[in-house]
Amino acid sequence: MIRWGMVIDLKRCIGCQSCTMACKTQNGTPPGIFYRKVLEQISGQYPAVRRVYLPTQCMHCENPPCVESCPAGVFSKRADGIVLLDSDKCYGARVCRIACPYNAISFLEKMPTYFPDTVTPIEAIWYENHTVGTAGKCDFCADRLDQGLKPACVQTCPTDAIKFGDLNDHQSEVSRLIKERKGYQLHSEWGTNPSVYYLS
Amino acid sequence: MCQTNDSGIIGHVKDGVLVKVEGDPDCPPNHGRLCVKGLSSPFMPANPSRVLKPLKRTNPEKGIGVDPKWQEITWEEAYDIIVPRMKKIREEDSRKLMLSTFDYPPIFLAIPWCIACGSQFYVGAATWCGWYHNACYQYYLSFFREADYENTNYLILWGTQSGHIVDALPVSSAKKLADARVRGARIVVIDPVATPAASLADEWVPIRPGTDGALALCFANLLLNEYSLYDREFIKARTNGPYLVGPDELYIRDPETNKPLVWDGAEKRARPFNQVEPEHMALEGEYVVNGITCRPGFHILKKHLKKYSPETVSEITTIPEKDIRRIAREFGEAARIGSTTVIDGVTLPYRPAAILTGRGASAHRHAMHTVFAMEVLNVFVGNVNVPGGVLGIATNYTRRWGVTEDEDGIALSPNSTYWHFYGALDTYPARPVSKPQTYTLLDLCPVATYTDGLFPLAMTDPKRFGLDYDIEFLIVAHTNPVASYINPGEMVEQLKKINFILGFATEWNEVMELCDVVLPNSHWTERYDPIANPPFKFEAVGYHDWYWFFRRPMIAPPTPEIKHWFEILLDLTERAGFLKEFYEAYNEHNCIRKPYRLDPAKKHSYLEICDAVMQDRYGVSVEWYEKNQTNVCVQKKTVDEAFPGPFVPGRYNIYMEYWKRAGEEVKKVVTDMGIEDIWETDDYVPLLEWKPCSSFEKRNEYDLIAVNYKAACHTFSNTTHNPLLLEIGHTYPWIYGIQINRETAEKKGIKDGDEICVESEFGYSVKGTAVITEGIHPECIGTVGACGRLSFGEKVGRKVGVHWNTLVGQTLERIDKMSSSLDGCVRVKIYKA
Repeated sequence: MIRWGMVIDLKRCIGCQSCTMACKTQNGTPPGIFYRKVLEQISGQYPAVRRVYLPTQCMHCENPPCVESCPAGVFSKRADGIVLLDSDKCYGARVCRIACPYNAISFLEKMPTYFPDTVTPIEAIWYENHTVGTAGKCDFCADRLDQGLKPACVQTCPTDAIKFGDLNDHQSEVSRLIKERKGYQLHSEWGTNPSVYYLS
Repeated sequence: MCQTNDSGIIGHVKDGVLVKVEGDPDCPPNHGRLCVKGLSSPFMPANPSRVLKPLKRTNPEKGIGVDPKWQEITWEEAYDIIVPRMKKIREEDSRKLMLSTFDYPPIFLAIPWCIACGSQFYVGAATWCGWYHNACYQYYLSFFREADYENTNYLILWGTQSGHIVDALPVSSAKKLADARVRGARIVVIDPVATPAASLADEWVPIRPGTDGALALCFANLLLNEYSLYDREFIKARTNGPYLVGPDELYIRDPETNKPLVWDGAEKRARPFNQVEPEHMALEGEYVVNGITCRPGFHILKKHLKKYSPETVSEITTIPEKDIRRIAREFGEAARIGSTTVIDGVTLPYRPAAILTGRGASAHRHAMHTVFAMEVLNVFVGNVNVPGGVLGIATNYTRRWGVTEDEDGIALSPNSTYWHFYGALDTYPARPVSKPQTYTLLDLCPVATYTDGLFPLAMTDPKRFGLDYDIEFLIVAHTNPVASYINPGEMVEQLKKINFILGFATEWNEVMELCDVVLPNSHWTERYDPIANPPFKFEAVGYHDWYWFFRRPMIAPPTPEIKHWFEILLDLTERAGFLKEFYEAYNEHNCIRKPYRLDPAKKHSYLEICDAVMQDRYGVSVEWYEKNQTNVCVQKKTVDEAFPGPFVPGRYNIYMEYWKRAGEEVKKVVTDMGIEDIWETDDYVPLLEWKPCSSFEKRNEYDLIAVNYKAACHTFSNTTHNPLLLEIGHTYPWIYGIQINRETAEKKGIKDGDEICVESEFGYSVKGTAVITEGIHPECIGTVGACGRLSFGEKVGRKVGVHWNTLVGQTLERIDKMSSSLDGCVRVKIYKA
C-alpha cells in the first residue's frame, strides 16, 4: 500500500516562496489563507550570519491529532495516508487548530478580497470552494495525484527542494533520501509520525 | 514580466477567465517549474486598475500622485490626436520623437521602428539593472552570461543573487545552483547585505559599498604576484597580454602589417602576434624594438597590481586581510589550471571555479573599471566559456553565427552583427565619438553598452551637450523610468518638458500618469509573443538543447480593440505613412536573409513579421508551432556550442589599450564642445584601477550608505501592483522594511519595528520600518529597490515598502563617464520618524 510522503531539502530551499504561490493558485485561497508557508530564521552574529528557510504545511500525520479533535468528523485519513478535510461538514469549532501541533490548519473568518471593494473574475471562481467559517488545509493536492500529477508545490519548486513519493517503497527517491541524508520529522517525539520529512 | 525567458508556461482557463498558470512540464529548461512572480500573473489581466479605453488627460498639471482627470475617448479620436502629431514631427525633425520600452519580446521590432521613423530609442526602465555591468560580457563574447553551475566547484557571487530567482534565467539557474550546493560546491557571496544568497552560502563576505574594484584588483595581485595561480598558456594564446606596449601606453605595431607585435622568445625578436606560436610569446620582460623600450601588456599590468596589497585593500573594503588572501587562493586553486575534462568524447579545458558579478557591485562611479577588474579574474584563470567556468549565452550558435576576430586579433562577439537590435551594444571595438546626437548621449561613451541612464541628465540641459532640438513626443510602453531610476520628482521635472506623451498601459503606474493620451495595452497572457525568449540573448547555458519559445494567448483581451501595443503602433505607423520604411529597416537591422525578408510593398501581420526572424534565426515558422501545438522548439546543442571557449577565434582584452585610444577621441570631442571641465576622461587608461566613489568619504551627519537588493517576489517596479506578490512580500520583514545593523541601531537608539526616516545627502527622504539585523554591513542600511509605489491610480502597492530610488539624485559628479553608471551608493542619515 502506498503511503504518500514528502521530503523537503533545506539545503536546496532558497525561500523564494514559489511553492507558496503555486499552492495559493492551485487552491484559490482568499487573502490571508495559506495552506503552506515558508518560515525564515536568521541566526548568528555579524558576519557569521546564517539563514534557514523552513517550508511548513499539513504533515499528513500517521496519527493525526486533528481527526480525533473534531466534533463534526471533518477529518479523515485516506488509505494512502493523505489526511483530508471535508469543509462541507465543518461548522467552525476550530478545535483542530488547537489540536494540530504544526499550525497547519487555516480558518476563514471572513472573505476579504485582494483589491479594495472588488471581487475580480478570478476571485469569483477561486472562492467558490471556500466558505466563511470553515477550516482548510493542504491535501497533498489529492486531485492532482489522482490525475497522475505531482502536488503543485512539488512541480513548481525551482530548486527541486520538495520531493514526493511513496514512503512505503524503500526504493523510492523519498525513502532513499530519508535514509541517505538522515531525514527527520518535525517534533517526532509527539508520536504523530508525519509524512513530511526534512533534510538539512 | 521582465525575463521569463527560461520558462515554458501553460495557462488554465475557466469560463474565459485565466485561473492559474504553471510551468510547462514538457518544456526545457524549466520542466514544469515556475517562479513566484510568474505564478502570480493570472491575477493581473482582470485587475481593477486595468486600462480598458483610450483616455485623454484633462488636467494640464502633471506630477507624482496628481490626478490626470482622464476623459474617455474613442480609438478614432485617439488616432486623430496622435497621427497628425506623428506626421508633423517626422516632417519637421524626427529626432524629436522618442520611443521608450523595456518589453523584451518586441524590442527587436522597436529598434527598427525607430530607424524607420528616424526617432530615438530609450529603454527607460531597469537603468540599475546592469547597463554598465554588461560591458564586461565581452569576455564571454555574448550579451549575457551565466556560471556553469553544473560543473563548477567554487563560485563567488559578487553583488548578485544569481541562482536565487532574482536574475535572468531565474528558474533554471536556481535548480542548477541548488544541485551544485548539494554536490558540495563552495559558494562565497561578497555583498554588503546578507541577502538570502549570502546567508545560505558557505560564506558571506560583507564589503563596504563601492570598494569591490579594490578587492578584485587585490585578488588579481595575489593570483599573479604572490600565488602564481594564473593560466599562463591561456593568457599567451587568448589575451592581448603578450602584445608589446611602448611608453605611450599603446601597442607597438609592425610597420608593414600594422599588427601588434609580441616578443618571440624562440627567435629573440619582436614579430607580429599572428606569426608567433603562443608558447613562444613572452609575457614578461623589457625589450627594445625599433629603438623603443617596450614591455608586454601583461608585464605592465602585473607590476601595476602590486599596489593593491591585502593590507591596503583590507582597510578600504573592511574585509580582514586573512580572508582576502584565503579567498583568492581558494579561487585560484579551485580553478585547477591546466586540467582537462572529456565531454562526449571531446577533451576540453576544465576550470571549475567561477566569479559571477552583478550590478550591485558595479553601480558605482568608475563602474567600468570595477566590472572589468572583477571579471578579468575569470580570464586570468582561463575559465572563459569552458566547463566549470563562466559561459556566454548563445555565443556560438553555429547554424547562424559565430565569433570572429579583428585585425588586432581581438575576438568579436556575434552581438555586433546579430543581436545588437536588442539595444545592447558591444563594448569592443570602441565606437566613433562625436557631439551627441541623441538624448542618451551615447556618442560620448564609445565603450559603453548602454547609456540610457544619461537621459534625465541630457534633458536637464540639452544645449550644454550640444543637443539643438527638444524631445517633443515620447511613446512609452512597458517601462517606468519614473519609479525605477532616480528620485521620481527629478525625473518628472524632465518628462514634463515633453509636449506630448503617449502611453500604452495595462494598468496605472507613475509614468502612465504623466501621459497626455493613454491607449490600452494587452496583458502578456492575452498576446502572441512568437519570440518569447529572444533567442540570441537569454538561453540557459550548458550542455543542454537549444530551446526557442513561442508564447500564444491564453485568454482574449477585455475588448477586441485591445491589442499588443506594437500592433497598435504598426496601425499608427501605417496611418502616418511609413510602414514600408519599417519593413525595410526591419529586414536590414535584423540581418534577415532571402527568402525570409519581408516584401515592403505588401502589408504584413504581426505574426508574419515575427515569422521572418524566426525562420531566419532558427529555421522554425509560426506555422510549425501552431501545427505541433507546442510552446517550444528544441534543437540539439553540440559540445562546441555549449563550451565554445577553445573552438572560437580571438583574444580578450586584459590590457585595455583600446580604452586609451577611445579616451583620446572623447577628449577631443568634449574639448571642442567646451565641456571638458564636466566630462572628465581620466578613467580612459589602459590599466584597471580602483578609485573611491563619492560615498567613500563620510560627510557630516550622513554617516551611512543606503544600498538596495532584490527579493524573489518582486521585479523592480513591475510587480508591486500585484496583491498576491505583496502578500508574499509581507512574510519576510526585510522586503518592505529598512535593514540596519544591530550595533549601528543601538548607537542611534533605534529599535526593531521603529518607524524611521532615511534622509539622503540630496535632501530627499523616505520612511519605513526598522528591521534590526546582524545581516548587513554596519555602515549601511538596505531596502528592496523600487517598492513603495507612488502612482495615483495604484490600488494596492501604493506606499507598501520603501522606494529606495527616491533617495537618489543624479549629478554629473556621480556619473561614471565611461559606462554611464550612476553611483548607487547614497550617503544618508537616519532618525526616528
